[in-house]
Amino acid sequence: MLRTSIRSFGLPLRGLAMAAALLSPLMFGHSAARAESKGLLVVFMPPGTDNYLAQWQKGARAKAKDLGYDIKIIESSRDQAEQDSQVQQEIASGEKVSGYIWWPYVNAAGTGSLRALSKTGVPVVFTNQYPIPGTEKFWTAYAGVNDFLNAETAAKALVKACAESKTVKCNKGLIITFPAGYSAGSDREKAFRKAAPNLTVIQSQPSGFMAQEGYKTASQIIPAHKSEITWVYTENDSLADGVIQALKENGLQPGKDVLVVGGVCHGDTTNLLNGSLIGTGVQAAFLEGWSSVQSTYKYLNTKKVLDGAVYLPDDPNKPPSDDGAPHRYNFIPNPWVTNAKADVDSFKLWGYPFKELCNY
Amino acid sequence: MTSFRPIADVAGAGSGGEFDPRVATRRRRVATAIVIAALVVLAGIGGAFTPTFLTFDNLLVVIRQASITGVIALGMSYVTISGNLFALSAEELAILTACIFGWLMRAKFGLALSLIATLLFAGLGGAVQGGIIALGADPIITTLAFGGFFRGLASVVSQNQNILLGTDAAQWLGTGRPLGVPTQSWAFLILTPLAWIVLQKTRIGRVLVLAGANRAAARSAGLRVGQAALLGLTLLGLCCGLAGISAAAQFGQAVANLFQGLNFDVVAAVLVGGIALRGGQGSPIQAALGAAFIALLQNFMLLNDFSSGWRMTVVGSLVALATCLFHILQRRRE
Repeated sequence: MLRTSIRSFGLPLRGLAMAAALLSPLMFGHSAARAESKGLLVVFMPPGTDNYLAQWQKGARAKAKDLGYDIKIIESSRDQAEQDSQVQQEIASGEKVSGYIWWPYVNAAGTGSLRALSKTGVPVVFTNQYPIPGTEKFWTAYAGVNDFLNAETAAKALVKACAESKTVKCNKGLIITFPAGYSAGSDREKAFRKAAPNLTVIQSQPSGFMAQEGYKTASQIIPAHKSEITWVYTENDSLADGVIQALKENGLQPGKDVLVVGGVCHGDTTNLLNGSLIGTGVQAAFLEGWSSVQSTYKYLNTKKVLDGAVYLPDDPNKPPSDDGAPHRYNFIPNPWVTNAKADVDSFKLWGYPFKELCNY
Repeated sequence: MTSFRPIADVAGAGSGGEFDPRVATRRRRVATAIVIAALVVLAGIGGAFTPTFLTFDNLLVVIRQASITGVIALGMSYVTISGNLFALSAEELAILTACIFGWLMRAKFGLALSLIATLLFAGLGGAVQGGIIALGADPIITTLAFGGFFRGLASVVSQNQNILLGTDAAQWLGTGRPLGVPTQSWAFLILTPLAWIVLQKTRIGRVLVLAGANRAAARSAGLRVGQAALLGLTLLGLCCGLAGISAAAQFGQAVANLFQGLNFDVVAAVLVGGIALRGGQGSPIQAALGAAFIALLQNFMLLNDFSSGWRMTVVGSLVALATCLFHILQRRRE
């Protein structure tokens, strides 16, 4: 009965909902509004119920509006098959699109959809997930975070904090990563291990993105290793929040007995300001969305892509210019901020203060 | 007003001998014994291969891990036993209640009022689904649709941002450890026997069991069969509310992205516990044992550094195996 119900109703319902979502702009006169705009950008990405992704969307929408483009964001659940289906439906709709922005949920599994998008002849800007080698001909430019740099920055900060610590001698530790299959997670782990070769990893476990998931994983591993853990690397600060709670429950004091580094400010800054985290990297979701749209615009404006990679300047007050062509890789800056309140309060990037970029 | 007759009379009268409460009790005991035996075997194997596995600290962690899934599985067991399969909206209702609780706390409604309002909403969320199912709607489709509704509403309430509670008033609910045991585990340990008592010793419980065992017999006995769906889903809703409050209180924040994979974990707990999918047989204790078994297995694999792919494969296989095993056992007895 269960199987019959889902087959008979669930999938068609989901399909109808998806089709309705894709058709709705046409049905409600979106096309007319678009006639006044410079074109339509279509974004494929995982769901905005994740607060990082919601911030990304805000940045993308703000920049698209600023540049005079319409933007349509097609969210999938955490399901590559669903995202693949959305790509097929969008292409089949025949909608006139100026540029695609592609954020796959499972990078490798999404290659077929990436290829399909590239075959339309419309430029495809890859974002957030570092493109897989071998897919270069399917995308125009990459714009977003550099996961390798992000982890490297966190690793260096941890090594430095270890050297300066008077209470802990760093040796063995844990790595808590994003979910399995999410390529940004494995990229960061590789880069972290490479940048901190003298730190011994007791265990590395995929977990999730949220504090609750970090807690669930860490609370099970820590009791077995609590006498030997001296550091923990998590791939964002939300996961770190969960780890910090698990450490405290096991009688370990973060910042004193164990050094914890998240590397991406994400969510709440309480544990940063109370010293439980050694610091954080400002990988701003808002600016990543903003920059993805800007790179798409720069290509559409110039029809050129410059070779190599560029790190967008980390100017405190001024965002990067819209002029010129994008590079093949356009990385947003990832400046490090210590856990000192004065540093947090005085921090600014592209005119946005720390709280605006990190507390969401 | 309908009168209520003992379970044996009703079943015998309406079912033409299809449902025998003594047989049902025996089956329930066999299923419970199988899960307990599996728990003991797993604990033995785990202890033999992993030195830290059978420590007090680790077992506390396992119970803590089983608690949230377990509390919701208790509620889900009512839904399944009442013959309504599963509610595929449990995860989403828990998310929504976490967001509502967070929002109320942030808006300074105070702890007591926020708790009451959240639980009322949770119960109502369950009751509305139950009411629609009672009218004849398919439980899977109805709850699937409500799952989408609840998740969407959570997204609206939270505006896809972290809702910071802004106060430590609720912190104890999520992080307290009376006598060294986490509050969530206390809730699980207290609610499990309570859920069993409700099912076995009260009129509500008997309505749930009879509606699941034999709808025709229940109807002929004057019971409102639809009431079972309403009761089951309302109780499940309350359990989801408790889980949501606990999650929001634990980190002082709520977001519309909590409880990833909870629906699967809860359904797995019910199935591994050996509760009959067709309804009428099983007890909340089986669901609790199912949740504990899965948590123990997950913990064993985590401590032994199984990759997440293997962990998912093993748990998925276990659910399939348990479903087949209990199905075969039931058919043999028939």
